Amino acid sequence: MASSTQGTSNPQADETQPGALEAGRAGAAPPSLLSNLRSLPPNYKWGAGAALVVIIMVVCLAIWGTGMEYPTTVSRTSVDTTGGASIELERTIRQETGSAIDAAVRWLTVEGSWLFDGISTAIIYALVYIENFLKLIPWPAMVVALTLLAFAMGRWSLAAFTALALLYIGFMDLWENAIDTIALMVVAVGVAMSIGLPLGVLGARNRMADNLMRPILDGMQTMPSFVYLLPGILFFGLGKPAGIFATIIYAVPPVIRLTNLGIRQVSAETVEAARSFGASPMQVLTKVQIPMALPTIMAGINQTTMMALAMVTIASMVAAGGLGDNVLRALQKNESGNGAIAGLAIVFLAIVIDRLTQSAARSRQESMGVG
Amino acid sequence: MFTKYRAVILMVAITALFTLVACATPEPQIIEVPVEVIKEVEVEVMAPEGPKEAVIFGDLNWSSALLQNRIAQYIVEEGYGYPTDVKFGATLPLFQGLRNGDTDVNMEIWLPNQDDAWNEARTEGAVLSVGKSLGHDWQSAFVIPAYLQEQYPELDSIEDLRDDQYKDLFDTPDTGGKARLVSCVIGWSCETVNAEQITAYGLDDHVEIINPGDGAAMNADLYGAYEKQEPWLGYQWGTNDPALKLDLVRLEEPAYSDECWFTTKACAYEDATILIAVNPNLPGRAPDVVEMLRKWDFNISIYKAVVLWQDANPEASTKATAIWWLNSNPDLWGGWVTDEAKANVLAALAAGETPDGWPVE
Repeated sequence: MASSTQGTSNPQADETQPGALEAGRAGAAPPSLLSNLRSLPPNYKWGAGAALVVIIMVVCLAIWGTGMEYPTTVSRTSVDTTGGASIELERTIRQETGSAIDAAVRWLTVEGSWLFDGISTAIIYALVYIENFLKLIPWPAMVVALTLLAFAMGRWSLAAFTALALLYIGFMDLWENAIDTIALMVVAVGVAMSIGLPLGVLGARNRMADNLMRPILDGMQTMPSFVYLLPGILFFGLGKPAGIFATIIYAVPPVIRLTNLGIRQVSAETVEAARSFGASPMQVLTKVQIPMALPTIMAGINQTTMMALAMVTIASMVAAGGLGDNVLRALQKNESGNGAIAGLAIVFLAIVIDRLTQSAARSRQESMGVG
Repeated sequence: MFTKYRAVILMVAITALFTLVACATPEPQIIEVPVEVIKEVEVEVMAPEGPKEAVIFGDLNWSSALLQNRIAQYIVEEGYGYPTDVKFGATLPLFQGLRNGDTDVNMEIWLPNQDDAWNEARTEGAVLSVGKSLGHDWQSAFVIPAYLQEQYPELDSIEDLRDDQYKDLFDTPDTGGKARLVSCVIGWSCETVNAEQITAYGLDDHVEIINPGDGAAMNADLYGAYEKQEPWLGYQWGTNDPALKLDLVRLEEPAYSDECWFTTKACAYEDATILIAVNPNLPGRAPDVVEMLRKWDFNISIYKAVVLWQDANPEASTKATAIWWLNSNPDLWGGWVTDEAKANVLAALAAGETPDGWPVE
């Protein structure tokens, strides 16, 4: 694939790179340390690397001594104590950076409140509407309906599992909270799709956008949730919108990545053929690329759904409600049993939703003749 | 050339490292001293012979506990010569750790909040109480920001929430026309108690309770509202950061009485007790440290002064604050420690030393 070969770099390829050789030998441009290093044969490269490490170590030791007290202090202020002595307060680079971020968040909290309040209100209305609708239906009716649906779409084993899983949730008295969790998940996945699908398409068509997005997506998936949870609360206040905000940040990357991948995987010949029949770029996208990429895109949406469910407990931290509440309460009270019961309910919910959407996608693909 | 030997060099280096680590770890030595001697009778406590084993503090995840730990670590390490260490965590895991002996000292056991866990461990003899920290004088209560009360001077009691005019102040789209009340962290006993109080006050039709899953989240909600100068209604307690830093006003509630508390809960919280607890093996191996903790008297007025200073010096870390406080108040902490330890600590302060056991911040 085009994207994978360009990203990787192996020593052989670097060595024969014309630019590096020219810079190193001809001296047309002043040779940089890096280009010199690149043009060395592999054995010397390791040696040069090791030498560099030793040089840096020696320099560090010479300047900062064995204590390695690096200059991270920006300013020092002396503060008197009532005991007579005075102590020196250091302001470090980290503190400086931290307070700059604090100030930015505070500014955004106040200046952006109209925007956040608007988003928050919209999310709450959507959620309340879904929750109220789902709670109108008595849970045994819902169990029967979903079991029939599972039976219609898949095998009897899926139907049996759906029935057992939902009965478990019902009899464990977790239904109301499960509904809250589902509503939260539905809204989060809905927003994630409306953000993720266009961004995925953009990334597939525009290299620059792709390069820009990839590290941001990495960050969204690895950044500990608490880091953005606190600003989220400042912006949205405690409640479901903050929970949705956190869920979306964690769950949107798969749908972006897999949409991107799916569209890239559509063979160039197919696209070329469509073009030669006079399809406009928009038509190529909607009539060729997206339908052919659909299995991959569906896998992305499925992943997003699962990750949204995985955030249930984190969302409860910000008072978003749902099954996460039961888990948190059990943890705080040291009740392993209750924790396991609520945790299993989340797992069952995830499996049921996963299998149902997958069979739905499969039967859809079969009827379309794709995949 | 190097590639041939790389694996060998790496292996040798790793083996050497493990050998060093293994050699550096000292053999544990526990000296048995009857617990009752320390607990019940005033005795002249001598430091045990032999190498001193590390005293491990449970680093509870809130500011006052962290500061008390830094100060206590400084005194124990620089004054009494015990190595110290911390284990960071939340209330319950750390309490479990104290029972198991993973940690030795817990500077803040909150009662009645932790009554159940505490009483159980106490009767089993798995923990010992050696004194009080922060004193008695804080309150748990429902509060509003002071700027809000300036706008609405009549809004001064929890009963006022029946009034639609005030209730609407705290109304949000998801509370269905009721006042949004940010209550306590899910799973803490205050979560249930607050709900019972609201029901007992007959406010269920006027108030919708929101329970965050985390203390920091609860504070962030208040900070956010305060920043925007918006109405806010919720639960706070005296030593919590926002209560010390922001200008909050308590809403009046009927005064505490045992009859009401153990029946309807239609009254305010009782003042709480905050204990220092240690693992029962600590008095045996560090009796002088336990004696110091018995005399420990870091009360709420001291802590309020510290928070004011921290507000004026935002660049001060918890460690810098501890050093500032030790430097400023030798008369206070000097009364808790032996003369020798006091001299050691003063010398360490003058030399600008810091304990090795302080965690990286």
